[in-house]
Amino acid sequence: MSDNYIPLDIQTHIMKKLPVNSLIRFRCVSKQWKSLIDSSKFIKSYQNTMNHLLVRYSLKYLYTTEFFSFTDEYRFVSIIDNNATIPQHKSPITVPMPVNIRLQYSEVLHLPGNILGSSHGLICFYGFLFGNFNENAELIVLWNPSIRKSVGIVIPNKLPGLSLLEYVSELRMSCIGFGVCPETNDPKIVKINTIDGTPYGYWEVQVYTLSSKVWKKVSVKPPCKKRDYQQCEGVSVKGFIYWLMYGEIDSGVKSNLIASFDLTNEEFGQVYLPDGLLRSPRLRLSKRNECLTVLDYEADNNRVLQVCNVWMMKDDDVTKSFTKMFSIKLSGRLFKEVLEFGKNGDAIIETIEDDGHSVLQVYDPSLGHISGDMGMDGSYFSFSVRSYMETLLLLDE
Amino acid sequence: MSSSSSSKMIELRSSDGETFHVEETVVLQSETIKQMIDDDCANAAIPLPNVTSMTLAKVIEYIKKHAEKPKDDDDKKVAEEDLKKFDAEFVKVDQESMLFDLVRAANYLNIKSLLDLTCQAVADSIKDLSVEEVRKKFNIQNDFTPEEEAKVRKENAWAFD
Repeated sequence: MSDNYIPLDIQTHIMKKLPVNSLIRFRCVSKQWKSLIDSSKFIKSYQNTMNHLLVRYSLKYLYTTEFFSFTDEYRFVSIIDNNATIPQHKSPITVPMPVNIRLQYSEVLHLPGNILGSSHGLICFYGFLFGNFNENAELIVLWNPSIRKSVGIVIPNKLPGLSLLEYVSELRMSCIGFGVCPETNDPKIVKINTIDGTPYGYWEVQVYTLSSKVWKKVSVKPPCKKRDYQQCEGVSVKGFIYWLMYGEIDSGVKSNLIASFDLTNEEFGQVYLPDGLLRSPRLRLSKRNECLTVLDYEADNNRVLQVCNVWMMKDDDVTKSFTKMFSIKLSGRLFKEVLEFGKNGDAIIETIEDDGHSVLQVYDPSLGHISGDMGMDGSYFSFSVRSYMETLLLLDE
Repeated sequence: MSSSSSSKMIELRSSDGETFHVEETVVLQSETIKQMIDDDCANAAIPLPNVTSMTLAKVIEYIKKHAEKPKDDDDKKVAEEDLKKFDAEFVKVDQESMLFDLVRAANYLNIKSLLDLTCQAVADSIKDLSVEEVRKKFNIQNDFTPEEEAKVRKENAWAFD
């Protein structure tokens, strides 16, 4: 037995501890290594502790660009986020081709949320393509930035022949969510449409699973509906997708509440918000340290945001309850919004400078003030930040 | 001798015939040895034909350190930090063959935390290597034809920059 003989099962154990880019390179060590790394068993069991932030921004004001232009205005960078202070190392990253085109459309059309979400190392882009009247379509691009692989998914056109404005008002009433099922590691997309475009209309829920590559209509319905201005994109945390909605809890009084979708058994549920958030006009859902997080913004009389209260959900499988963790209050800076949270729990926020452009800052809740500048500036409204981990999902697609 | 089980000593014999006396509570971290004790095969010295005395001494150093119990919660935090430092130093071995020996011993003795620690150390040492260097390190024959290998490389050319 030679000194460096290591049986294959231990080699596999070592491979599971390698970063993704090394594994991708080592696919050509031997046929055995390649088939091992490419196997669905390895892909599903692989997970490392490396975390990154994907930042989207633009240097140009998007609203001044020509309507329906195909120009490539967005830039994307990936930042290593490893517990210590953010940012560490920034590198430009190329998004899959169709994304930039679709993003342009959706931004011009004021559709909410281009980056729909991030789950298990996958970034989900969501956009809208408006061709001729019967060719309008919504498009999803699932992308694993760590292995630079993507898959495009077309959402079936439920009502062909709508005008652009009709279509957009339909989309504004619908909800969409993306998450990876923790049991099967299968990416799923959930689309909730209201057919006649009113909050009282008829509901239709469709679920797409990547392994089957088909959309299927499901009979389950969410317990309540969303308001026109509410965030349409769901947030995926630990096997559930959550949406902010508005409905009746009891005695005919309507208030904010959260609808949940279990990615494993495909059933809806609801989560009650604490009393203090039932009537808040400016709620957003986010996630922090893999916990569902509610951002409750307070504005002054001029609608300028002053404070963001950060509430986190405790989920012990029996009850889901919220606790207020901290409040973000900035002095001497114009607060745009909280975009994401880093691995160490710091908030990544956008602030607006005197000349109107935006900068990214790191807010440390334990210090209660801004602890660093991410060294990135761009135009107002162009920033989007998503945290993602390194996985091999989509390698076998 | 009817003293508490914590003081019971187990005798281990390495491949080169050296014997080591280790407390039973310490040695139970090895699933393999635990099974032997459970099966009542540990009345005499336990032979470990796959582990040399040099490697076994290192393994015993590791499991002894990991068997230390903190007295209270304050102590627990200090102990955790201390253990982290110990682990980091433990895998800084002069010879790479020693690291490989430890990986094999951890696998044979079925000590999960040691296997994780040593495999992580090997992974850290190879992550930036070229494909050729990895083949050499693990004695792996390249069974791709040049055309096949070029094709696999081309699929993810970015990873080779």
